[in-house]
Amino acid sequence: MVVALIGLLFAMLLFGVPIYISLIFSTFITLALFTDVNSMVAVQRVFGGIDKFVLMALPFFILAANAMDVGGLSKRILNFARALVGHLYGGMAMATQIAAMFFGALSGSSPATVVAIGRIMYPELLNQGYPKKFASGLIIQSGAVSLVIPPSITIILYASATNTSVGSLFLAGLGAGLFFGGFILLFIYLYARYKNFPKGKRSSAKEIWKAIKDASWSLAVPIIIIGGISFGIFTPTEAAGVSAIYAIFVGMFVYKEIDGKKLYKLCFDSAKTSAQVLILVAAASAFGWALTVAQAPQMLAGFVAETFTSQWTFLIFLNLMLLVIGMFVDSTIALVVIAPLILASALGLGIDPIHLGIVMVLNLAIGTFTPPFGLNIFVANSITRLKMNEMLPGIMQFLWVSLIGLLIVTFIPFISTILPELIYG
Amino acid sequence: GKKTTSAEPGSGSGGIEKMTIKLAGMTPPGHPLTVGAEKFKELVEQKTDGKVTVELYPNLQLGSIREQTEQVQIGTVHMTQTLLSTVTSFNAEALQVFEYPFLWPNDEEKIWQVLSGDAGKTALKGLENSRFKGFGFWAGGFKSMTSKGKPILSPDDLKGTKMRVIPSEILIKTFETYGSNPVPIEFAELYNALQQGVVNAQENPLETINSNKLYEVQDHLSITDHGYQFYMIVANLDWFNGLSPELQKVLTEAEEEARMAARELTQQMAAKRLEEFPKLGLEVHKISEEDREKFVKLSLPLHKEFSNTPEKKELLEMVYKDLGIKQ
Amino acid sequence: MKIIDRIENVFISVSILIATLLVIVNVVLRVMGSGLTWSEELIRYFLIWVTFVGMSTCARDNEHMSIEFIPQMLKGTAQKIVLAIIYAVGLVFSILLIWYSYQLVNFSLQTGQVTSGLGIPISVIYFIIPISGILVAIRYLQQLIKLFSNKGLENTLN
Ligand code: NA
Ligand code: NA
Repeated sequence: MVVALIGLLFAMLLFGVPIYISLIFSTFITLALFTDVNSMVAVQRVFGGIDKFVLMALPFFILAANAMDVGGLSKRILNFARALVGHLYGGMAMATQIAAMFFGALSGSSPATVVAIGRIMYPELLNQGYPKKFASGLIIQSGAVSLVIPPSITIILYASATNTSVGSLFLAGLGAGLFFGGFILLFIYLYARYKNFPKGKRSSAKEIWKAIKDASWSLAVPIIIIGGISFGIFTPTEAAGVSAIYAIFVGMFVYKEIDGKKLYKLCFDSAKTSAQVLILVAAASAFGWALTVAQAPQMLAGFVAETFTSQWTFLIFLNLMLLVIGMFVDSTIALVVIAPLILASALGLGIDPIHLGIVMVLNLAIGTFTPPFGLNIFVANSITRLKMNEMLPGIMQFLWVSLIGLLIVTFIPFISTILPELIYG
Repeated sequence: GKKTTSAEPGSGSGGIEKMTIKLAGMTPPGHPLTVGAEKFKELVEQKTDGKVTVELYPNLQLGSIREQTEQVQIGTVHMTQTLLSTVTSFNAEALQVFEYPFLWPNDEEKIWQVLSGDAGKTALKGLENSRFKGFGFWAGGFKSMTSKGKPILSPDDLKGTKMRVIPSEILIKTFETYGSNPVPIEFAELYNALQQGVVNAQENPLETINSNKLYEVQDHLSITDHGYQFYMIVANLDWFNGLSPELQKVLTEAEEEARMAARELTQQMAAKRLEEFPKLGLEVHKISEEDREKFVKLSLPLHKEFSNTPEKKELLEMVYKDLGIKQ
Repeated sequence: MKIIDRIENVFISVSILIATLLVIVNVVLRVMGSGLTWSEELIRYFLIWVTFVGMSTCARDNEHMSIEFIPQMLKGTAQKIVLAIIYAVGLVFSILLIWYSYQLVNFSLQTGQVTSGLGIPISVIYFIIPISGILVAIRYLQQLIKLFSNKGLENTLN
C-alpha cells in the first residue's frame, strides 16, 4: 500500500499534475484499492488539515504583507533598512535573515515568515542586483529557524510527547536557533564577499534619521507584533490579523495609497495565495494520514531505534529518516509519531532528551524547504513566480549549508544544552 | 441482522475472528489514558491468543479529538479514546450533564457509584443513537484551577481573571457567573498564552496540567474540584454489533479491566502530582468547605438553566436522586 | 461562466477580510473584559471556505503549484496531449471529490454532529466541499475545452 501510495504520487507529480491533486488523488485511489476504508475519510482529513486556528496566521500574514506592499509601508521600511545596512557586503541579504529570525521567533510560523519577509525583501534583493537563484533560496530557507527559536508550538509538542520541560527546550531552542541563524548569516556574508555582490554607499546619520522618521508608521508594525505578543495582548495568530488591519488602516488613511478598489484587489490576491498554500497543507494532511495508518513512519522509526547502537550512527540515521519522513508528512505528525518511538533508544545511548528534541525540531524545520514537497518552496513561489527548476539551485545551496548547520548542532550538544544548564543548573 | 458466522470452527479461542483493531487515542506516552490503551491492547491480544491485534494510534496521530471521534463514527477507525465533552457534539448533548460545575461531591467513589446506576446506563444507551458503542466512563480526574500571582480560593478571587476555557457555552457561562472573564483559547496556544499573559488562569485535571507542563508558566494550583472530566472509549456501533459474541465479550471485559486500571492509576498519579507540583514551582492550595459552598450556591441554578431539553432534565434528576440531592 | 467567476472572486475576497476583522473585534472585546465565544470558530470556517472556493479560483487562473518539467519540455501536439491528460485527471479528481464529500455531508446530516462553539450542524460546514468540487470540475472542463479550441495554450504555460 505504501509503495502504491508513494508511486502514484510521484508518477502524477512528474507528469505535471498539480501537487494538491496528486496528493489527494493518490490517497483516494490507494484507500479505495488497498483497504476497506471509505475514502470519504480522506475528505475529512483534507478539511481537518486546515481546521486549526494556529494555521490561520498564514492567510493573515499573507494579507498583512500584501497590504504593507500596496499601502506603501514596505518601501519605507526598506528605505530604513537600506540606510542602515545597504553599504555592507550582503547587507540586505543579512537584513533579510535577521528580520526573518525576529519575525519567525514570534510568529512561530515558518511559511508565514517566508510570506511576510519574502514579500517585502525579495523584490528589493533583485533591485539591489542579487541573482534570482540566491535571493529566492534565501527567502525560502528564511522561515526554517522560526520552528526552533521560541516560542514554538513544535517544541511544545515534543515536550509533551517525551515528558521534557518546555522551559528548558525553549532555552535550548534559543541557543541552537541563534547559532543556526548566525551560521546562515556567516554563509551569506562570505558568499556575498566571494561573489562580490553589489553594495550601496554608506548613509550619513542625518539620512538615517530621515529614513526613521519617514518609516515611523511602518516601523510600528514590527513593534505592534512584538509588543502585543510579549505583553500578552494577543496571541501570535491574532497578531497576524492585527498587523493586517493596521497595515490596511495606515495604507488607507495615513499614506493614502490604498483606495476601495485596491483594497478589493489586495484581498482577492491574498485570498488566492492563501488558498493556493492552504490547499497543499490540507492535501498533505490526507496523504500523511494514509501513511500513518499504513504504519510507514512507525516502521521506519522502529527500524532506526533498533538497528543503530552508537550515538553517532543513531543520530545520523535519525536525521536521514526525519528528512525523508518530513518530505511526506507534516512536522507535527512526524513529532508525535516518531519522538515516543525513538526516545527510549536515544536515552539508552546516553543522548540528552533536550538535545534530541532540538535536533528533531531543527531537522523538521529544514524539512519545511526540502524539495520536492517543502511547503515553503510553494509559499515562496507565490512571491517569486519562478518555476521549480529555476528555484532549485538556490534552494540546494541553502539546503547544503543548513544541513552542515544541522550536523554541527547534532554533534555538538553543548550548543543546545548550554543555556538550560546555565539557567536551570 | 448481526453476522456471527464469521467464526472459524475448531479454533482454540472459540469463535473469534482474526482481525486488527485500530484504537486511536489523544494522550502522550505515560499518561494514564495511554497506559490504559496499552493495557487494553495487551488484554485483548492475550485473551484471543493473538488472533486479534490492536494497533494503537495515541497522541492524536490521526487527527484532532473531534476528527478521531468522527472517524470512529464513519468506521475508518474501529475505536477511539475521546473526551465526553467532545462526544456531546455528536448528537449526544444530554451527556453534558455529567460535566456540570459542582455537580459531584468531591468523593470519586460516589461518582462511579452513580454512573454504574441508571444515569450511566441511560447515557451509554443514548450513545447508540449516534452509532457509537460506549463502554463506560474513564477517569479524567477532578478539574482544578491554576493561576499566576494569587491563588483562586473563592469566587471573589476570580473577579477580573482571564480564565482560559475550551469554547463551550457551559464553561463560559459558568465562569461568567463566578465573575471571571472566560477566554476561549485553542489548546495548541495555551502554554504560550499563559506564558505571555494573554490569559492568566486555566482549568484542567492535574494530569493535563502535568503532561502539558503548565506548572512552568503558572504559580498557583487551587484544588477546587469544580468539575469532573470524563474520557470514554467509543467503538463504531455497526462494526461492534457485527463481531462474534465471543469477541464482543472479550472487548467488553478488556475495556472494563483497562478502564479500572486507568482509573486507579489516575488517582495514584493525582496524589503524586500534588507532591511534585510544589517542587516544580506550582504552589498547591485547597479551597475551604465554606468557599466551596459559595461556589456550589452559584452553580446550582446553572444546572437548571443548562438542562434545556427533556433528556438533560431526566439525566440530571437521575443524578440528583442517586446523590440524594433534594430539588 | 462570468457570473460564477464574479461570485467566487467576491466571496473569497470578502471572506478573508471578515475573518481578519473578527480577530480585531475579538482582541478588542477581550481587552475590554469580555470575549466572543464563537469568533475563533467562525474565523476558521471563513478561511476554510476561502481555501475550498479558492481551490476553484486557482484552477481557473492556472495558479496551482505543480512540477511543470515535462509539460515545459514538450512542444506542439505532444504538449497538448500531456496537458489534456492533466486536465482530465483534474476532472476525474473533482468528480471523486464531489462523490466522497457528498457522502461525508450526507453522513453528517444523518449523525447530527454539531460544531463545539457555534452549535451549527457540521454538515453545513462540510457542504462547501462538494460545492467547490463542482466548481473545480467546471474549471477543468473549461480548461479542456479551451485547449481543444486551440486558444489559451500560451497563457496556460505562462
Ligand atoms: Na518561534
Ligand atoms: Na510555576
